[in-house]
Amino acid sequence: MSRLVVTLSLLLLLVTGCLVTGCTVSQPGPADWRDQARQTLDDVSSEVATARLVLGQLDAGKVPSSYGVTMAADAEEAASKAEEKLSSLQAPASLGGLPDKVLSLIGRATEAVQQAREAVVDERYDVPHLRRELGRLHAALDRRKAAL
Amino acid sequence: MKRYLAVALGVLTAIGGFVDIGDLVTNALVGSRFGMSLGWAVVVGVAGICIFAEMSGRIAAVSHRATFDLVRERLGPRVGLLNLVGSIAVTLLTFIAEIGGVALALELVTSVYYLAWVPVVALLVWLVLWRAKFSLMENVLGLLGLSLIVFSVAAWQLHPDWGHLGHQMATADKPLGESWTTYAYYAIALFGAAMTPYEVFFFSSGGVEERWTTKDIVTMRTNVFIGFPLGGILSLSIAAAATTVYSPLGISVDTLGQVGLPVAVALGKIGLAIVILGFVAATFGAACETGLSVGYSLAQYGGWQWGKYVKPQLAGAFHATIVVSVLLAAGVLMTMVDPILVTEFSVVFSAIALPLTYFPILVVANDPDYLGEHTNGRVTNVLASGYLVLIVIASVAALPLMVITKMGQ
Repeated sequence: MSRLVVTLSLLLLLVTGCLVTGCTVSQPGPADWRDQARQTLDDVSSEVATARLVLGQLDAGKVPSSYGVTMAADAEEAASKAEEKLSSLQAPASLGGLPDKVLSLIGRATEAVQQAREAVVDERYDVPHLRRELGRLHAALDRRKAAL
Repeated sequence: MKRYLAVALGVLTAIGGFVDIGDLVTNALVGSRFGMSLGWAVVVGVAGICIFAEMSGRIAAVSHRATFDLVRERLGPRVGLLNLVGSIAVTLLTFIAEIGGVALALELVTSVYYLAWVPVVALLVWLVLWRAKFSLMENVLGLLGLSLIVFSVAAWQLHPDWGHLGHQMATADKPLGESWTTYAYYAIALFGAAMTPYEVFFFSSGGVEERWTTKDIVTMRTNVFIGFPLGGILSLSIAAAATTVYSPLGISVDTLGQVGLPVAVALGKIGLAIVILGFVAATFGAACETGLSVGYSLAQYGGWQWGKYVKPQLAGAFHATIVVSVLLAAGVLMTMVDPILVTEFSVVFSAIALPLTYFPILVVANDPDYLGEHTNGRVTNVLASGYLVLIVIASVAALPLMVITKMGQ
């Protein structure tokens, strides 16, 4: 009986601990913030490259529009989710202006993916300027990730 | 001649039915991030499923009884229950992922959001499980699933550097940007995807449904030892196509659309149409197999009447289990949980539950009371014991690696 009480008490303590830590605002240290930023840059970079590839394949007539629309919408949704995840983290003050720079780049990339989705839905596939912009952003995201 | 045709049909359906949503997503994801450096995990997984599927098929052919039935009798209700709970949880998770996979494939064709397809797909799966003949279901969906061979054609047409891919595979050459923990996590995911427990339940229960006898052992072995490895080549082709298209672009696969796109890059719209047909057939076929497997497992453990050949009035509990599973799967998907995430969970939890599934099969396959002269030979036992060690290592390591790598990030 006493074993059961001890087990239940430990379990209750564990659940309470999890609830308390889970309900606090996330405040990562500089290293944790950089890790999350690297992951987000990686995720958004992948979505930017996907949007660019989809536009290229649609322009080449290799992909039907329904497939392209789904892929572009998925890329937009994934990029937005990744951006939201990072921006919801409280950036440590010790990092100075770095978080703003990273978030600004990610914001521009997410916006470009959104423009790609709009172009795909409108069936405007011949958009060389947008594809170039996506290419530039892809490279910029990778550079930023390497520099973090 | 008729016998040869039956063997050929069995091999073809084994190839077409080998790949499911777990294989599709995991192989493409791993190919895009790790190149072919984890190809060995697919080879090891396919060899493992061959060994244990042959064992469970032989048990069905000789004893005319399916896995759970014998596990409970041979190892007692407690071990049987542990085996049942572990296996049924993973099979249900896989069932949810497969229904989600069909819905995602239909979204790619129609642009209609996948959630709108979920109830339709769930209803269709239930109708097929309720009305269609077992052989029709297995053969039609298995043959249509063969259209995934288009991945092999695409991989060839993409003109990859075969020497480089071969080198990556032979040397297990991990890419620079990835950690060893992530590498190990995905090795276990690929292993789990290839050795999914439902495959043996379905295989052995299907053998009982089709009334296999000892005369069918040769045909069964041909299906397993030719069909499954060829199915494994399909898995490697998916990884090779993803490696060739995505690795240079730094794209990581996280949607079903990305899994199929390399085929469009290589073969255009016709190739893409074939691959979508393959997606639908493979995931729908696997949804039927997993749905039936849930019913089989519970009914065999509970000692109820079961089977598609038994009139529904006589196998009420079996059919009720299937109905509840279909409703549960559709309900979970309607909460907007990401089917790809469910798939990733299902392959890793599959690895965790593997010992609960495969250890009892090995015990039963060595029992002369059930198998008489057809018990395991020495070579089979050595191989299976070696695999059990691997399975236990994968099972123990899966959860910690999942936490440490934040699900492979």
